[in-house]
Amino acid sequence: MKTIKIPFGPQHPALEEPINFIFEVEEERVVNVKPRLGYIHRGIEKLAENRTYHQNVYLIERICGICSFAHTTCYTQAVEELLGIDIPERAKFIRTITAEMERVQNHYLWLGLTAKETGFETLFMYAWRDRETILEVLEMISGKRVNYGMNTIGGVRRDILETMTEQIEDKLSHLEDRAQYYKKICTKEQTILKRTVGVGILRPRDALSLCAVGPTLRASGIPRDVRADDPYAAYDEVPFKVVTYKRCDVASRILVRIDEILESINIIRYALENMPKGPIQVKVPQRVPKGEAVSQVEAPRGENIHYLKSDGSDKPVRLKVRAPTLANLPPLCKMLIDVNIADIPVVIAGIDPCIACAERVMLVDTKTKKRRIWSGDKLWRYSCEWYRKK
Amino acid sequence: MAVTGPVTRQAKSRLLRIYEQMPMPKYVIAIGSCAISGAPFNGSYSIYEGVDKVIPVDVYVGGCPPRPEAIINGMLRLIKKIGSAQ
Amino acid sequence: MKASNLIESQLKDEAREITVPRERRMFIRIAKENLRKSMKKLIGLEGLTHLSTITGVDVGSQVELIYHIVYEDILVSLKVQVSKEKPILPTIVDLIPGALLYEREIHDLFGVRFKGNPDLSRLILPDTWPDGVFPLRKEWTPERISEKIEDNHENY
Repeated sequence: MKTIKIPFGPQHPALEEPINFIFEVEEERVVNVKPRLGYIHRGIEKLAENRTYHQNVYLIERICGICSFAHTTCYTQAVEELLGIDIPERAKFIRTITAEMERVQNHYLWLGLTAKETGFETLFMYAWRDRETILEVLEMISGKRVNYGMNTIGGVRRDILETMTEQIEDKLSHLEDRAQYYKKICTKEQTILKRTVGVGILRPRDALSLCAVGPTLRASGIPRDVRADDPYAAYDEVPFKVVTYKRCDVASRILVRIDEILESINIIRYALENMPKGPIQVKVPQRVPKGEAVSQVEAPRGENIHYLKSDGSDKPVRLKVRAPTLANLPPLCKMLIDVNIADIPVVIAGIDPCIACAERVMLVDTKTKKRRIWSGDKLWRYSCEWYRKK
Repeated sequence: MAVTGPVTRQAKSRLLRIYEQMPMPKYVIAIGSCAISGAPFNGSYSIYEGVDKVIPVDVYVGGCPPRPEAIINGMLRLIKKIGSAQ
Repeated sequence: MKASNLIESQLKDEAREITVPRERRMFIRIAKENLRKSMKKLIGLEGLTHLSTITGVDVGSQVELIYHIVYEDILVSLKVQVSKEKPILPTIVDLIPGALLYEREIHDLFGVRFKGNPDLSRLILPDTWPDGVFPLRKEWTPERISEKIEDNHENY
C-alpha cells in the first residue's frame, strides 16, 4: 500500500486555529480521515479556574475572534443563572442585535473564503469588502471591529442609541441588497455550482448520529437552531425563520448561510424597532452561589455550549466550553469520504471551521504508499487546475 | 514572517523550523497582544509567553486585536527598519 | 410523548438523584455500571437532537463525567463518577458516533480511559506532552505542570 502525504494550509489573518488532517487516498479519492488538533490549544478551561467570574468575561471573549460575542453571551448567561438574576429587557434586545450582527459578519467572511476555495477570487474580494459595512456598524455600537466587549455579567456595557438607528438601517439595506445579489450568483453561476453541488454530502441520518450543529446540520434538512429550540436573550420575542435546505451538499451550506444573513437583518430591524427602554445592566455580587448551569447559544457556526460549576466563591470550580466546530469535525470527516482531493478545501470550508488555517493534511495513498508534502497553497492551486481541466 | 496569536507548545517546533528555513535577511513582526506576551492566556500550561521567547522579534504591534491601521503602521515601521539596516 | 415527560419514568431504576434547577434543564446522577443501559434508553426517546458534549469535572478522589444530551424540549445532563485510581468507563461511540472526539478530549485532559473506543490518541495536548499529566485534574496545578515539562526538557 502506497501513501501520499499532503499538508493543507491556507493561512488567513482572520482565522484562528491550525489543524492536522491525515487522509488515506486511493488515486484521487479520499477513503479515510483523521483529525489532530492542539496547535492553538491555550488551556483556557484551566485558566478560567484561577480567574474571577468577571475576569473570565475577557478571557472567554478571546476563545474566538469571530464568534467572541456568542461565547461571552453563553458564559454570562450561565453565571446569571447561577446568580438567580434576570437581566433587563433592553439588555436582552441589545444582546440579540449584537449576536445577529456577529452572525452577518461571520457569514460574509465565510462566503468570501468559500468563494476563494472554489477559485472565485472576485466573489471573495466583494464579500470581504461588504463585510466592512457590518464591521463599521459593530464599531459604531461597541468601539471595536471584533471582540466587542459588549457583554458583562448582568447585562451589556454599551447602549444602542436612537441616533445610531438611521445609520444602521442604511448599512443594513446595503447588506441586504448585496446578500440578495450573492444568492443569485450562488444559484446561477457555473463556477460555483460546478464546485459545490453534490460535493461533500452529509445525509440527515449521519448528521444526527455524528452530532453536527449549525448551518452544517441545517443544510442537511434538520431544522435545529438553539434560538428557536431553547430561546435566550430576546429570541422568544422576535419572529424569525429557521433556515434549512435539503440537498446536503456544500451548495446547500452556502444557501443556508446567505438566507441566514437575510433573516439576521430582519431580526436586527425588528429588535431595533421594538426594543424597550430602560437600564442595560444590573449590579451583581462578586461571589456566585453554589450550583451548576448549562448554557447554550446559537453561535454563527452552530450550537455553543458552556457548563459552569460554582462553589460560592468568586472563582468558578469548572468551566467547560464546547465550541461548534469541534462538534462538526466528525461530520466533516464523514463528508470527506469519497471526495476528490481537489474538493478537500471546499468541503472543509463548508463547515465554516474555526480552524481553517489548516496547517497540515497528510494524504496516505493506500495503493502507492508514496508520501508527498504540499503546502496549502499548492493544494489550492491543484484543485483550481483540476477543475479547469475537467 | 508575521506571527499572530499565542505560541502554543504544539506549534513551537513548527515556528522554529519555519524561522530557520527563512533565508537571510529575515525579519519577524509580532502582531497582537498574544504574540507579544501571551496576553490573557498568561500562566497557561500550553503556551509560551510571547513570540520573543522562541525567536527574535523586530517589530511589535499591540492590540487585542490590533486595528488594521496599527498593523499597517507596524509594517511601515518594519520597512523603515529594513531600510535603515541597508 | 415528549422526552421531558418520559425521562424520569424511563430511568427510575438507574437514577440515584434527579435535580431540576429550572425549566428545560435536568441533572441525573447514575452509577457507572448503568451508563450504557441509561444511554440506550435516553437516545431512544422522541425529540432527541444529539449528544452535545461530555464534560469532565474533578471532584476530589473521583472524576465526574457529565453527558449533555439535547432534546427539542429539554437538555439532560447525565452524571457518572469514576475513581482517579481506576478511571475506566465503557465507550458510547457505538451508540453515538459523534462522541468520539469528546471521549478523546476527556482522555487527554483527565486520563479517563473508554473501553471499546477504537481511537484514544492525543487530540489537543502536544505530541511531546509527558504521560500521566492530566491538566484538568486539580492536583496538576500550573506550577506543577511547568516543573514536569521542564523535567522533560530533552523532548523540546
